[in-house]
Amino acid sequence: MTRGAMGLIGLGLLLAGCAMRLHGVEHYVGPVVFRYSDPDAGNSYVSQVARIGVFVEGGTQWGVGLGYAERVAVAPRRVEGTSAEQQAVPRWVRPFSFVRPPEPGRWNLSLLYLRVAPTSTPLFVRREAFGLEATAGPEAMALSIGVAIRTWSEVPDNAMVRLHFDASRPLQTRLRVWAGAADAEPPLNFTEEEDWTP
Amino acid sequence: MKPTYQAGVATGMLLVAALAGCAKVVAFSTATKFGLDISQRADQTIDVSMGYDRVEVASIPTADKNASQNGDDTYAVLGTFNVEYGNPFLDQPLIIKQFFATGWAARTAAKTPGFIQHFGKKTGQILERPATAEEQRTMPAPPGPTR
Repeated sequence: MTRGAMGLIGLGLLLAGCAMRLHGVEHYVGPVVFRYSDPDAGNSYVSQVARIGVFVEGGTQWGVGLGYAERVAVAPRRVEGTSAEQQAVPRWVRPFSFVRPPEPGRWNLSLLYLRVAPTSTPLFVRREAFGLEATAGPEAMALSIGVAIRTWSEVPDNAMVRLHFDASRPLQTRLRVWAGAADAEPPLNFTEEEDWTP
Repeated sequence: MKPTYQAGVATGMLLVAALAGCAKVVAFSTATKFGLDISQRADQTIDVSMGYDRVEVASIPTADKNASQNGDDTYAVLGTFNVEYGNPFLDQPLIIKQFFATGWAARTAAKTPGFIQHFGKKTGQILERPATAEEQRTMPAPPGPTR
């Protein structure tokens, strides 16, 4: 094995990471960069996590990969038309970091461990992979070598969902969900497009 | 005008029955692939691609039960789905605009004047939009003069 190949393997292992999403909590071990939307603004919680190197994924979505991977997840802040409370604001915590706490709206770096909780099930996910990726789960089931950019979105039963996503401004993604009773009148402002221009 | 491709535009449909599949929710997926890719789509078909490929899939599940008897409605879907994409490295990012109602929300919306007007307008926009370069290229040529 050449010295260059060994160097690449060493770099990959150094950058190796793991993501685990389970029971409303996300754990990221290893270096990741991330940003998330301001929890006090907008009507959805948006997160964007990127990593490079060797990575393993587990929990709701399983996979392994080598190269660059990025995931954008969008969950509604609340479901309109129901008595359900607003979803709790996710907290982004780096327990083993001495730098200041992460800030919404800007890129942050986590070298060792990042914990996000509580998280709700996203209704829209965009996954980007440059390199090699094998993944299985509700978001995607694929083996790819090269570039793969996938999106996946879901509409619950007996509900109305409006989504506006722009890949150049992912944090400004708008997602609204209404799930009123069978005899309830759906809100007409779902058709007002001008409110959806980022 | 930005040289993007208007790719999957579908609107104003009240679907009573739809694609069969194992997914139990209405789901939409898009994919842009360059390289070797083996993937299983939401409609449960395995797709193998080499080189460049672009995919848009809508998956609408069938119900296990007789919806009309139980008072539930898991069949009805009303919506618009608009995807714009181009070369992401040339400031032509992926843009998705979707508005979907399912079940009784779709049935109620289909009877509500504001929503009827909205979907009618969207349908008109789609019917009147100019053909893309790709559509023009694949469009059959008009019959020429014969002797």
